[in-house]
Amino acid sequence: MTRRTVAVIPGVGVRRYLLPTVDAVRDRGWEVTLLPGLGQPAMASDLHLYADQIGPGLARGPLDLLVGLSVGCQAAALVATRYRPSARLVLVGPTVDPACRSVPRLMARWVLAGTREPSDLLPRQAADWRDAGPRSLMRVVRSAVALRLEDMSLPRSVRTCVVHADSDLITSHEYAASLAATWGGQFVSVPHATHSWPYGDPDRFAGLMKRLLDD
Amino acid sequence: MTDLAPSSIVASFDSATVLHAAVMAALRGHSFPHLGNSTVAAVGVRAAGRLPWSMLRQLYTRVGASEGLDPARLGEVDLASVAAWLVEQIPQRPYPAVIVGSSNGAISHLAAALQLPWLPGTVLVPVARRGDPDRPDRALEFGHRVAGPTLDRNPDIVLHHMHDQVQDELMVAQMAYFRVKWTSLPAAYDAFQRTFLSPGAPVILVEDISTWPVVRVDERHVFQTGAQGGVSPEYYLRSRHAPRPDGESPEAEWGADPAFGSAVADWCRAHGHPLVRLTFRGPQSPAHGVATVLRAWYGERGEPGDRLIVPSFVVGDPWTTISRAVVPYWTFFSVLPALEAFARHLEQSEPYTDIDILQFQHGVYSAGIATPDDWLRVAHRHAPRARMVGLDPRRFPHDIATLARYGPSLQKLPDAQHPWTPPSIDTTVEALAGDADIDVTTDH
Repeated sequence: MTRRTVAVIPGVGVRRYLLPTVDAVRDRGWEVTLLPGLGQPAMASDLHLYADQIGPGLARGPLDLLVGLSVGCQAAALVATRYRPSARLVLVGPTVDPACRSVPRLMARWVLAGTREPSDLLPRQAADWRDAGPRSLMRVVRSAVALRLEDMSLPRSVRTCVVHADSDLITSHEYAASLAATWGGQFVSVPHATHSWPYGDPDRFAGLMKRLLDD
Repeated sequence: MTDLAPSSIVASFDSATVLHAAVMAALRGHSFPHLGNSTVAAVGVRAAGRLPWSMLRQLYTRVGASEGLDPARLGEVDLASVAAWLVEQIPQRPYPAVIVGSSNGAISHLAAALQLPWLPGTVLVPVARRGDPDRPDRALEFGHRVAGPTLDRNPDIVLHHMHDQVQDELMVAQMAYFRVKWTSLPAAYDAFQRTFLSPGAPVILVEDISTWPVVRVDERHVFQTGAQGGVSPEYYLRSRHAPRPDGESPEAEWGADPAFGSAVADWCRAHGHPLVRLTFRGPQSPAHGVATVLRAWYGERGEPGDRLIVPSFVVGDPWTTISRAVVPYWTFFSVLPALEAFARHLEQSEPYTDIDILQFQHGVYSAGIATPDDWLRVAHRHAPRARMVGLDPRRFPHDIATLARYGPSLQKLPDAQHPWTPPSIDTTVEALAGDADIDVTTDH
């Protein structure tokens, strides 16, 4: 049986924190590519440049699912529009909610959201952020604030699913549901989960991916 | 002369307004503690709830009475602005359907699950009036005297003046309940549907066809002694001060005005949207069907669906209920007919393991009331674990602080386990059609 292939675009300047989760998904028989994060060394900090950096490789496929996480959703949407590497797009915790569409507001939300995240998350992400450097990270944040996901027209051929972790304080249910409705996509709510989902939750993540592919 | 602000026209305790707010919270993925009021207000209610009932009764009545509009300002009531205000609260995004029509707590939970907005066909306008609760005849005279300016100002409404001296004894001593029903589709509803309803998306019209004996006061004005609750219309009409009815009309609070339904049907024909009619008789009727359909959906989500919650009137939290995969069996009031229907639901359903019961407190030991012991006795016959949530049964039926307690209590319910997506509208409507108490028709 052909292994199902998934590519995951992580959020701002991070990647390594997701490796254990991705490994656990791989152990369930999936082929998962975890891309380097925006603003990481050798990676662009601007969403458009980043999409052009990773898009051609993804388009060489095969790819069953393209998954974006947080700011990675904006990159995933750009890649889906420009390169169409996969017929399915999954956006988990898409940014930037209009309610916090400025750098100070987004940062404030991020700090607040951190209070709900697992205690081991921050140390795991800090190493990647240190490697990326503050200037690069700030460029990513500015680029994210400037790109309005809701104004993008996704290709009709791409089936989109917008996933909202129900304890996410950065992306609201309202924004996630609105994106799904605007694109005629599916909306999924994940109970008892935060913005960092699927960190530490490979079972539900793999289960959702399977359900989406089986649909 | 300045029109009254829409939020000050409708009563904060109005079933339609509160259930609408609960659905709006669910569309935002928000819980609905203390009926959507602020935390500060909830703290005040909790504190007040500790007072002896003799003092609390005065406070409760005074706060309620403060909502009554000055009869001299009834010409400043613009129901079109109320419709616009209801629409403004809806998160703006395309919707695969919209629900309009009768207020009903079971339907509001269904709307939360389907993630659909609901637009009410009836709202409550409270009008200040001091009077003897046991003199509905005088209440009728009052309504006849003051309602003209509101009717003149709003040609697309019918006024159902409701006077329930049994369950609303405390309030009708301080105010008149003007329940107004739209007879056409308000402009704001029309604009919302044209803008946010996806092409080909159905309009789901909810019609409670229950009626009540009324006195016709004017062409667009009826007076209703009593209301749906623990006793029959005959019970109310036995009172020697009850005006003699000369006809029947849609029940004031829950009933659907046929003209509104016709207007919705016309709109659907004109704009190319299917019309789905959900018709039932009485506010309690759809609760079993909705509970059954949502329980089956939880099963498809991979959840056990073995926990039941019993929301009461406006006390409930659709988002928390749905997102935690708890089955809602809504009851319209803590009265014996609702208790009997609850017992039938339990008899007809696979057993639940847990039953959580909420209770709206209307402050009086009214005829036909069902007590916490009554509810628990029935629940315990069918489930190993049953409890009252956020209620101090010793203070029943005036544990007002339950309004501030039920929300935090519900946050302690176990989380659901699996990611979920709203159920299919077609499948849900089809499943509701299988319920004996709900009639479903579709016009394409």
